[in-house]
Amino acid sequence: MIFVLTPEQREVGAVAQKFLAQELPLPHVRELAEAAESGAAPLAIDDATWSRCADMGWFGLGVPEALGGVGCGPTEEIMLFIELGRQLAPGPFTSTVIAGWISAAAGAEDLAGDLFEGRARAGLQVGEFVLDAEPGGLVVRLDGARAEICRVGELQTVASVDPSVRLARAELGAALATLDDPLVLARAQLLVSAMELGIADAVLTMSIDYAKTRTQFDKPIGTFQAVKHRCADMAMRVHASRAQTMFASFHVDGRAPDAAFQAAAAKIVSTKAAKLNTGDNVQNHGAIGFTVEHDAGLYARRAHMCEFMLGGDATAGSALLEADRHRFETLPAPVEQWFDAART
Amino acid sequence: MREFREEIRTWLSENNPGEPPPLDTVEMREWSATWQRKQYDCGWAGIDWPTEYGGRGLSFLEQIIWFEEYVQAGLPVGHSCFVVALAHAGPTLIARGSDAQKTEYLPPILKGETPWCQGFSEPGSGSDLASLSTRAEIDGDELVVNGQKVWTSYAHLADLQELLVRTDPSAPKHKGITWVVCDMHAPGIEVRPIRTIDGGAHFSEIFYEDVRIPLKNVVGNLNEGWSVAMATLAIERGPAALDYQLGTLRDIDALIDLAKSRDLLRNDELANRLAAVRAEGAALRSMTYLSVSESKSGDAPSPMTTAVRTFWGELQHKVGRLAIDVLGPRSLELETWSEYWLTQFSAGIAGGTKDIQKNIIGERALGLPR
Repeated sequence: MIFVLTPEQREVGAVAQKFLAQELPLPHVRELAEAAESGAAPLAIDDATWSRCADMGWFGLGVPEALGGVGCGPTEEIMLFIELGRQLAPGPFTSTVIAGWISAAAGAEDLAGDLFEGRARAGLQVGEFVLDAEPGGLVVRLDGARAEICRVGELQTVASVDPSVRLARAELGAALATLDDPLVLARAQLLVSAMELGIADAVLTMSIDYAKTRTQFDKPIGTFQAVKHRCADMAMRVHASRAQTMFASFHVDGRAPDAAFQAAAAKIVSTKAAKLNTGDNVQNHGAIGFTVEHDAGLYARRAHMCEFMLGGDATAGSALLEADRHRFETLPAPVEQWFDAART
Repeated sequence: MREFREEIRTWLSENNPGEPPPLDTVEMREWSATWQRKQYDCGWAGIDWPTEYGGRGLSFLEQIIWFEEYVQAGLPVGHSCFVVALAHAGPTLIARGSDAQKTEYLPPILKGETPWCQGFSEPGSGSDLASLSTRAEIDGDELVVNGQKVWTSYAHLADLQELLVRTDPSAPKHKGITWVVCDMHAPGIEVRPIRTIDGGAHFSEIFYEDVRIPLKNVVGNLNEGWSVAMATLAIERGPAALDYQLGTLRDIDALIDLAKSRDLLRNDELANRLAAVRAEGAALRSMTYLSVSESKSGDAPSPMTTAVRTFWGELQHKVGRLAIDVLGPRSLELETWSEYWLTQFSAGIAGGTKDIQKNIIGERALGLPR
């Protein structure tokens, strides 16, 4: 497929895809969201399912084994998060994984253990809100090179555009654990980029399937250039997002000098892919895409949540514009390995 | 790889010709020929071309590193009368030419002796290239060509041409085409210049009247030129243009510098658009690596290679328009950036319009019905 993915890296994606398709198919995601909206459940994913995700090592995937994690890197995390995005998995996956990095690196072993083993979840601060936070629970806050885990104080729920994301205003206590690392934001941007890639790719598939089967004027609508070209635009955005997210992950993994630049670029092209593709997907489906029973709207709503995570385009854009130029200093090791393999 | 990169960097810093080339004239041919010859003499021409034809025989990775350093050194990319020879004709011949053709044509390309041009488009055959009607009839061991080609860059400076002709008018349109090497100095060829909206003088239309071409110049087989042409276009739309693509990233850097010097990043809308094109520039490079890793796997070239070209064209459009918005009313003056803006209008047309390319993406990559 792309650059050099090891069989193990592919396996992470395949296992996640299978599990999510079985345990969290979209109709079930809808039920969970409805339960959470009506107040029947605190969050749109139940403890049993969350715990099974933990059993697969998802929350400590990219943390070294010596710190209690699985010992993989950003690329494996991306393979997982593409699938989480594709299946619209509900729950604070991004922020719990980030909280795992922070607590493990900060030596907060008990906290890390709780997160890795699914006993604790962490929400995410986004602007004036927190996503998927519970009263007395945890929240991740990212500010420049500093990442911290805070305890949630009083919490006031507000209506969320995405019903499977619990949105609230909350008071945050002092930091329980802190990580100062210029690349923590970059690595977090890759998680969100990967989810956005999964979303953008899922709606591309949905649009292609519909354009092949829906007929008007006695032809599949995919024969019409207006629809065909819109699908081509969607495919180009997916291609750009995939290439840049993978390429950036190799940079972040190797802590290359331009790692933050590459990850910020991934966030911007992936946000664009998710945002525009989910909108185009509604358009491709016509009126049925505008109905609540169709999944097109769910994808548009989730893309909207992702857009503003981690400071959105404003934060990523500043990192890009701070740089004096595009740098071609190094090629990530997996790219070089690939060429070496292709030579022989 | 790091040493290879350092070696290139050192060589380029010591041998950078400094002055930019003159545009579109015979002086440009001389400038480019001298510079190409220097690269050849020092072992930097045809880095991934076979050694028996004058190349270095290294992988495309080394070629990429050369392109990256070349662009980082600020050297001119894209506009050269050697682009077709180095980036289309040469790679097509390596893939599809006979041993005799490779021996005859490849070394002079690397030495900067033979600029090539392309003879694909015709007045009646643009996006529908396979409808081309320039005729070639077999007479003994020669083809006799009559017809017209158009939108040919650097025809007035070229010695040779990659020419598509119809050799079997009775066959279905894709089946009767032949890819042949045409001597641009042969009797019966007339080149008439066409000026472009950005002031460029590299375009021409070409008229052929009983032009005789030896049959040995046919690349691939008679009437099988469409597949050779598709190979050429896959190369043209693919990573062969990497130096030119990286040139767009350098243009973006220059534009951001200009915006910074005018204190325009405080304007959120401009800052967002500049950040977006820089991000898409980074993605363009990543997409090219992805295409290369696929194409060099020995698999058929992914139809998404076309998507890289189309993505790049749309990026060029955006950068051109951003240049105007950064300059404001200053862009009324005809200067580098206003000419740049005008040049970018070709980005959705050259090498196949973006409209036809999106059909290709839709039908071949996504499987949508025709």
